[in-house]
Amino acid sequence: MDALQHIFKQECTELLEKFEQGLVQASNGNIHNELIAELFRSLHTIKGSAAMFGFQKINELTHELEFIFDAIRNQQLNLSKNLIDLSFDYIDITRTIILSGDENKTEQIYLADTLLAKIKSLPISSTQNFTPAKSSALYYIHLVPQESLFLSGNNLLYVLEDLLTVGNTVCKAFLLMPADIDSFAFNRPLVGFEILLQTHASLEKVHEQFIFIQDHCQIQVEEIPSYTGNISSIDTKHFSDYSASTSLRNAIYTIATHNIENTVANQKNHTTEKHHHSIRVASYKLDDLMSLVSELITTQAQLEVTAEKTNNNQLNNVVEALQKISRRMRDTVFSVCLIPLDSVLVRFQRMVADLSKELYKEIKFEAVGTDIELDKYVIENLVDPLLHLIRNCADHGIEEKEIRLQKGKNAAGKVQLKAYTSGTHAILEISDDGAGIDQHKILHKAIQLGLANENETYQEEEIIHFIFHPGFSTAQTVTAVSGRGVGMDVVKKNIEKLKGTIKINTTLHKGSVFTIKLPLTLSITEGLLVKIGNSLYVIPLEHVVKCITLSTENIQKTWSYTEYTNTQLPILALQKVFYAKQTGAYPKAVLVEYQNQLVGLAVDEVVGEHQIVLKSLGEFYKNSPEYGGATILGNGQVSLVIDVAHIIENNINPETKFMYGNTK
Amino acid sequence: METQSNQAYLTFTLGKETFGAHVGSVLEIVEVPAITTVPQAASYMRGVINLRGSVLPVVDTRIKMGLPTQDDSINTCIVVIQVEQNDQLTPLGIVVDAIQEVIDIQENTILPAPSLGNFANTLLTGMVKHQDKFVLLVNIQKLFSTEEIFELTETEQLH
Repeated sequence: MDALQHIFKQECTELLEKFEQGLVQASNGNIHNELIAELFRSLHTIKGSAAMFGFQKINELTHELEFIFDAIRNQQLNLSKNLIDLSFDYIDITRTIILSGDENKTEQIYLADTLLAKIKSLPISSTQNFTPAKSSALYYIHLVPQESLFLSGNNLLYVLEDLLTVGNTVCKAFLLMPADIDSFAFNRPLVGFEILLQTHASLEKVHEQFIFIQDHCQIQVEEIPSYTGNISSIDTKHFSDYSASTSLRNAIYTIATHNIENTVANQKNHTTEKHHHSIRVASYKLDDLMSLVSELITTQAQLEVTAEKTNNNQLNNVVEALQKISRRMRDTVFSVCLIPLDSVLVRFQRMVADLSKELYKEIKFEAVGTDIELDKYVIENLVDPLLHLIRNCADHGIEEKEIRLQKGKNAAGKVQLKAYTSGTHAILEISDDGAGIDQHKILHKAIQLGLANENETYQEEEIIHFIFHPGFSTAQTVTAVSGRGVGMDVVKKNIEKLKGTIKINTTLHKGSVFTIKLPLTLSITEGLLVKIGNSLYVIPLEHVVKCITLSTENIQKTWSYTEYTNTQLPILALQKVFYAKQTGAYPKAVLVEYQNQLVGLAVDEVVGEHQIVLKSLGEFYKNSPEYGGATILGNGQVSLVIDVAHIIENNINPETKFMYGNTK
Repeated sequence: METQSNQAYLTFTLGKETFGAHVGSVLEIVEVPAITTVPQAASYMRGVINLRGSVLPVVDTRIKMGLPTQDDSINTCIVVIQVEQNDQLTPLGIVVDAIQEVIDIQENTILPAPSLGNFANTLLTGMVKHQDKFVLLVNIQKLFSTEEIFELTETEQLH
């Protein structure tokens, strides 16, 4: 039962998400029949499963809302703003109930009942009289006027026009006789008409339309049974494709059969499309697949090394082929684990919509390039930081309407999420066109908190970075929106956990931009292979700036200085850190970036670049943060991957703060 | 009737003693490959090895159990065991002097564990007499769980 309930929870959450997405779309004014039908379907499924699992309140609520959406679907009601808001409320309440798994809490019952009352009080009135297309029939009318028509005093064009009140029409005229100048006569009709009429009306009703002219015309009416589409949606070009000589009758028959084929094909497409959506795989299986492929890659690299030694051409060819396959396999499996950023977008849109109501600000949320795909783990862990940043932008960034107008800005503020890739990194920019961050305020607060020294001068960037300190908040008043515990320090930590960085650019009165830079994949990275003592280590390439040869023959101490482009460059001797014997004179130094300054890591030898599959060292080494993990080299040896930030941090003398202040 | 109470144990030697580990926690036995040492980690952590493409941490069981260290011999091998870690089974390699055999032990022949000096009683589940020798049955889960390992690290640091 527990497992079933879990599935129910998951399914409902997904359905609610879908429903929410649809609503967001609808609230942007993008309402069409397909969307309404989908919204209805989501509700219907939720209702069904809620009843099955004994969630009476959800069942009741959903039933009422479903009723409303049924009315909308049948064009008896408009999807109004009020209704959309109610539906959002419905989502929130249902979601909390499902998450708690208990719908009998008084608070939830109260909320649900209030909403229920609101929904029930909605008037379901027919506001629109629209002819639903589903039960309509298509008639083909062939009309040839006779001479007597001109004498009867009827105007054929009025009759044709009247047909429009019955249904949708497509009309085509054809020549009754060759336009031969010799046989031309004023009193003889020259054109006949072919009309397609789509209507609810019965055949008799259609005949009635021609009651005044039927004695003066040849009229044939027949029903075209196989056509199910809407003729107004048929491109009239479709008809002109058929040359004037073929009758409209043949044309519509061709289209009708076409239409059936298309519908069948569409249905097929639909089902395959649904398959794309509905393949659900437990995430641990994907993880297993990933680790298997990683294993395959390392084994394959080993095979390559071994095969090369044999000088066996045949073997080498096979190995090469295998290499190609495994590369492709790796790429495919990795792409399986990628999901588009779009999938979480609705939460941001929703939050901004809620915030703008709550804060009485007009805020537009824009998403650009959010179709980029990222590792599912990355996306999952990115949602909270992004929510926080967007919330900050909306709350602190965007000013009140009056202030914006005073500043000569648009009344509506803009919060933008822009995503793009650059090399092996994904860049996410969250920007607003609001007030920007006041550095004086930040500095003042930093001094108050004892983070900064009053007498020291700080650079712009340093000041802005104070907001990443735990417990830092300049909000004069803690609103309901901000100051909810998750601070900028947590944002930074979460992003660093994903091996990313965050930067802030801000201009007073113009706005701020938060730039998040993330590696595209977590498990495969480029590294620089270095030799320290007799062991090989990997330094992640993303930290490496440059490699230089040191001028000192032997390094004596853990920390030393060397002159580099006219500055004193601190050098950390990894030989000392790892208790390794220095092999060879004149060690190299790998220059890495650490807290915006260059630090050299002295190694015995720089071997070269290497693509690595990063593996965790596991729980047993959780007390060794100086390693970011391990990787297996082509020769099968395990090599440790150095965590640059930690290894430098760990070797800083806590009293003298060796690293700090030496550049100032 | 007999099969119900029979338990299979893998026996191995460390120094002079023979130990038994329940086969339920043993995954496999591998030869000692090149071990990558992890500098600055606890001394009984011998390092990491490549076990068919995954990185396996290896414990120097001699240091862990307070026995004098010795160079690896031709008989030295690594027993890959499973230990429970935050409700997850994690593989771990333990270096032993030599592998003996797998023996069937009737549960009613298991004797209570002796008190072995500083070797905490709870780390042994009991002992059994097998072919005129005593086999000490090790509580693998207890002995090699990370909590236990970190506990030992702390006491080591106190000295």
